[in-house]
Amino acid sequence: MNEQLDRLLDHCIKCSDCQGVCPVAAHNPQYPGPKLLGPDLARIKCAGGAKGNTPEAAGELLRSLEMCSGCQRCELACPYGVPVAQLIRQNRDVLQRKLLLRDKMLATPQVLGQMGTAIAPLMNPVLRNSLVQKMIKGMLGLEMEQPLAFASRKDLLQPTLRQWAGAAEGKVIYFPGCHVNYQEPEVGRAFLQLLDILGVKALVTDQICCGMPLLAAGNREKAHTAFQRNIQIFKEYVEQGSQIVTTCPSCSLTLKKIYVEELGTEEARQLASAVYDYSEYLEQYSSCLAALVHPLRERAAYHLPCHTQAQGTGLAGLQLMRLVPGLELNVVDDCCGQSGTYGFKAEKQGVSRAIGSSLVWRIASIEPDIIITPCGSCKDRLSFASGVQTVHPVQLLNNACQK
Amino acid sequence: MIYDVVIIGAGLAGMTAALKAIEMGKKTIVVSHGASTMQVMSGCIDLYGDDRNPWPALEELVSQNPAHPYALLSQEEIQEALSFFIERMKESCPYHNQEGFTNFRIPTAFGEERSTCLLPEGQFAGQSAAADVKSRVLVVGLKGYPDFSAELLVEGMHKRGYQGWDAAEVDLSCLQMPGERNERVKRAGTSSRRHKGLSANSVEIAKRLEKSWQHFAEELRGMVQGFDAVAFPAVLGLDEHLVVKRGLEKYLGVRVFEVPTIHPSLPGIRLARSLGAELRESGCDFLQGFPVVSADIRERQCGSIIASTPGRPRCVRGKNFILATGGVLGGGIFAERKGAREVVFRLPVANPGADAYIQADPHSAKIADLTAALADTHSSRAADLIATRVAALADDAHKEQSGTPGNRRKADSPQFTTSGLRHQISISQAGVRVNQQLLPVDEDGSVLLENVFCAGRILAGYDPFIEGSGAGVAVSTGYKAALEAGRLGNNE
Ligand SMILES: Cc1cc2nc3c(=O)[nH]c(=O)nc-3n(C[C@H](O)[C@H](O)[C@H](O)COP(=O)(O)OP(=O)(O)OC[C@H]3O[C@@H](n4cnc5c(N)ncnc54)[C@H](O)[C@@H]3O)c2cc1C
Ligand code: SF4
Ligand code: SF4
Repeated sequence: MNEQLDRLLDHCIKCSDCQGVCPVAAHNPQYPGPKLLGPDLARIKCAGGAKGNTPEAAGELLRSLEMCSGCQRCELACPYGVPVAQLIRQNRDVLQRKLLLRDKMLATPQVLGQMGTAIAPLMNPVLRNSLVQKMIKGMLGLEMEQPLAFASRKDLLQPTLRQWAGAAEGKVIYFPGCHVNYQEPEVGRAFLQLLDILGVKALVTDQICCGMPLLAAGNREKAHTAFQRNIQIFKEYVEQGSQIVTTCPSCSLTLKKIYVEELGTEEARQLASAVYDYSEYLEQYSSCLAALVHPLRERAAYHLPCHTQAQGTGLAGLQLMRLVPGLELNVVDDCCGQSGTYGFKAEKQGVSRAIGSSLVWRIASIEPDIIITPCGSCKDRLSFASGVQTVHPVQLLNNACQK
Repeated sequence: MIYDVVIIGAGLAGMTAALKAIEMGKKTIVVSHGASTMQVMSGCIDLYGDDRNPWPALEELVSQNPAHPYALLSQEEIQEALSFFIERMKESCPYHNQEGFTNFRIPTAFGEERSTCLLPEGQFAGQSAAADVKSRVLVVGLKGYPDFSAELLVEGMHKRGYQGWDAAEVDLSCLQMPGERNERVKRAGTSSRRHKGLSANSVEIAKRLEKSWQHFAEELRGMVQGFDAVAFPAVLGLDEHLVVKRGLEKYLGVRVFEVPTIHPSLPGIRLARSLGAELRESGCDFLQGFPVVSADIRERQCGSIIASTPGRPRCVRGKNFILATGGVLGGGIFAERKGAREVVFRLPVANPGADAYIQADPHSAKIADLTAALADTHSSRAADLIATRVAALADDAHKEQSGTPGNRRKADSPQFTTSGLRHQISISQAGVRVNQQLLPVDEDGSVLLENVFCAGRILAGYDPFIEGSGAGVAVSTGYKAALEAGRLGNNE
């Protein structure tokens, strides 16, 4: 563990604020909570020496580490600046276990996506059989209500521009992320259309998965390789002063915060300072957008994903939605419980659903015509659980501009 | 986007200010680093001292100490603030008060007595039970929840002559966990901690009670015969607390009340959540999780504040600002042994009545030990917590001397002030000095910033622990700060 983290440990005064906000702790009697798994366990680790020899006493805690969904809420709640979620992630190092096939698969959405796109025409008819569905899910330890299917659409990843011609001004690099690439290219298209309306040229380079799923699966080594590769890919552009914009809150959180926390290098910091959440980027075009949008008479539930909150960009996104006249916004900000692939894993599904149920209930009480949320996995979860049409903010904005 | 009122800090002071600002039609945002002291407090709003009627003592305090935050408000204004708070919390987190805002007496977890001014509904029946020595109360502890001991409470009550109080215990395994219905989850996960004799925390018990309080009531039904009231540790639900508490009362046919426990403290968390929900519904914006690190100031006017967010800092612009960052414990003041500074606006920090922050007390080895720990700690926040402990120890030491357990007012008596112990808690008076409009001033009383109002624990010149005035000061100065900010906004 690095020295800086060690020092931050001392900031924990055991106030338990983090315990109070952890969605997993509130719904799982086995879960010791962020305080124990973060600063407390890290302290035990320190005491165990540099090699990470953990005393027996930590055994029970160690096994619970995997139940953390990585929502980051504990870190936002801590009044004393303890990087709780980061400590928990670091503590997972001592877990030496073999990754399940399922976890390996879920950790590589890009491989899965590319493979899926190729075999979709073949596989999907077979997958329509519910018995086959059950068998595959059972074999892999997946627990999902949604049917398994492979995306059959061609991905967006085809680089739109290979050469960076002329000055960087008025141009951005778009980082769609795996969810948009393999499951919802329409979000990416909407964003590119919107940028086009605003006169911004967007470049989609050869890029790879941000690496977060690998880290979440506990494969730090591979995750770091992915981090480094992205840093190399974007280095040249970053040096030219161009901005990298994402539409996925988890991708941008990873690029902005996790890379820096994990690698601690100057290069990571440079990349972080060039990465923008779509909302941060579009903020500068607010007055232009306000003039462009048509009114939409709709009652909306606006869901702020955990990872948007963790970047502090929730306001910017909300501000953009407020530009649309007639759109009635009801903000909800509880965790949906899905957390990427967390909610698909059989041993976590119960707790994931329990976390999400209060959010789904709150949304239902709003009786919205539409749910708006920037996160792909929240979006899937919420639209499935509520049956209400769910869109990404850029889709809504794009629609409002087109009408 | 330029906000009318930008509030820094999401504690009781900041949230009350936000409620009032929104009510005044101001576009408002609350920016905060983290959660607040509400997560650890009892949920009771203490006004001042231990007297049945605190107002005469308050008047005396203000006349003796004109720099006290309560001196910034008239008694009518304080009562107006308390009434406003009760009115706005009516639906989601109802509070009770007595005519003329006098003090309630309620039992503590140790069976002692304490005073408070506003009681949340969940603790309300506790005051009538404590008012009658002949009351018959069953105190229910939970097996698997070690943070509360029914026996300890009952023992304390017996000592004070309340012989009708009795202790009982219910096993938590009667509660079903949401998600536990799924057998596969049980199989795949490790077996439940409570089955292994390990403990649960108050938040998760509260969540479980929300789902299955009826099972719990079933267990209790046979036990409550002949009792006037049943007391529980404060774990009766989180978001659906009122459903659980009222449901139990109806089902058992007796009054039910909670006794606050150590953190995480449900009554405080409920208050924080209710305030948050109320504000969100009224259109207040939030930016939580990032410290405000600096401000843009020109000619004694603040134009924007800067929060440290990943990637790049985020700037929040506003016309008026309210500083409610909670002092040393809240994070608003960074204290080192050399001195202290206010973290957002770099305002000077006054520390009335103390020449040094912490002095070792030769009479108490324990206090000396803690003070040594204080010198070693790298974190100002840890330092303040230790300082708080020192204060508590000093308070205890005094109690032993005076022989009146639980009497905080005594602690403020002159002989205490002159004793060495008084210096131990001197850091808790550190804060920002303000004028009658709550604008920060320097030593000579000149205004340092013209559109930044200060509220709550950031204010200099009072000690919430010894006085029993924490939440009272937060609510009343928060309310007043919003009034002042709103007034300034209207004049423009
Ligand atoms: C353990 C304990 C128990 C207590 N129990 C009671 C009780 O039962 N009854 C009672 O009346 N009083 C009680 N008190 C006292 C009372 O709770 C406090 O005095 C009062 O709540 C202070 O409120 P506040 O809003 O001023 O500050 P705080 O609650 O400390 O809030 C400060 C806020 O500012 C934020 N902040 C700090 N620095 C920054 C920054 N740089 N940028 C952005 N945000 C920042 C923090 O994250 C926090 O949200 C208790 C206190 C403690 C410690
Ligand atoms: S909120 Fe921060 S200080 Fe409090 S227990 Fe958690 S990590 Fe420690
Ligand atoms: S990241 Fe989320 S799930 Fe993990 S400990 Fe923190 S609050 Fe709990």
